[in-house]
Amino acid sequence: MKATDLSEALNHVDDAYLLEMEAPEKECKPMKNRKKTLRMFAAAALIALLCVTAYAADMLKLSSLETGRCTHYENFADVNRAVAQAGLCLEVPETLGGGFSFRDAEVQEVIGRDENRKKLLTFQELNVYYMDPSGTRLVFGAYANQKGVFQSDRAPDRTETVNGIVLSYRLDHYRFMPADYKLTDEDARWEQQLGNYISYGSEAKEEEDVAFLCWEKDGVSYSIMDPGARVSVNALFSAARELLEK
Amino acid sequence: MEDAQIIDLFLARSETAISQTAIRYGRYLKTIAGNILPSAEDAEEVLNDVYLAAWDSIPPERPRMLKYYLSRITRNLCFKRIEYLSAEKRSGSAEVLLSELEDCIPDNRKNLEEALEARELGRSLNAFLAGLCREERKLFLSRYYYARTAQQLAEEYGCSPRQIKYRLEKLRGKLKHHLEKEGIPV
Repeated sequence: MKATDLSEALNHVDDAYLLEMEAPEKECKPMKNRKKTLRMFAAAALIALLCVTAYAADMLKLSSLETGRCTHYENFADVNRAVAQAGLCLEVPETLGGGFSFRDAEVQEVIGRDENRKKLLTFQELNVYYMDPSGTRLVFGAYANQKGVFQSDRAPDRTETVNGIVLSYRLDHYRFMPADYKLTDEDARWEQQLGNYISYGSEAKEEEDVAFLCWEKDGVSYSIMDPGARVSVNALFSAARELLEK
Repeated sequence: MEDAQIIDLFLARSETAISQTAIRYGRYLKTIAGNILPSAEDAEEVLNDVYLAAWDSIPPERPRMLKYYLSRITRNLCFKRIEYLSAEKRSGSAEVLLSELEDCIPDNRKNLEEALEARELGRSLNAFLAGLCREERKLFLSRYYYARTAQQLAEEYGCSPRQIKYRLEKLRGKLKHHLEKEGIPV
């Protein structure tokens, strides 16, 4: 190997490191926090989407869901490994309509427990992160359907049918709190409203809207998550149609 | 004009794409070329080739981040130019940079077939960078991606060029250790 090979290899340096060089020091921390928040959204949102059915609550005694181990994949070349790890068989696109390109992916373990914290079920969810040139992110999620165990807790805000598959859109509101945060009366009242969720584990109190577009096909539950609800509803439906038609 | 609009111009085969790229990124690319190449004339020539290469490659490419895509093209073309100039013995500062990188390579065999492909090596480099603190990463990339000199970095960091060279030497040592650990044959 020659030094020119190493120099050439530097052309494969992740854009994120080049971008980081341009960010002032003080902006670095919030950038990390945003990424962490995004992952928390993905985890918390998944659990919020997965409301336990009466059957599962009565027969399985399933009382809570939490996220477990998470495996991270930085390169698109590794996505098929991530798909296999999640126990799925699907094709993940490198780009989504609207200028969104693959950033990274992860396989998140979800654990269901009973009242005594005994583990009753585990399954893996695939999350693929996309970003457009303006920095807006979308998360494409998929997991093998847990038939009879989970259900949606409320009616969607909008639906559309594509090739016989129903796409359901909903807009939720999240408050992330530090682990030791004590809910105020206002927080408690806020949480009672439909579509409002509180999740713990952030470094500071954060609040954001999150849009979801969900559908099921061939025993797999899919979703596109739009943290911050920055993408238009029509663009989300368009991205989903694109995925379904591939 | 925003990146997405410039890329759309490339995709639509509008020559305005080139002038807009030059307006938005010309100075940035010229700085990179100027850091690597020995003369302003060489840098200027390479810059024209960069726009042409972008024109030829978009489409089919649709870069995620146009700025860094162009920076990679610039580096590639600069080092090709260096190869040409090396044959003429006129390559200047880039030879110094490459001789520093030579230190990090555990394998001194010259057979390319036995070396890792650039992409695989790039993956390993990203893993190495991930293990550095932000400050170290910035210093490493400033020198070895953007080809800034120790003197320029010393001015930025407010220390002596000798201190910069010492810190770079330590980083090269870490890189060498990392590459060996990743299984690059010694």
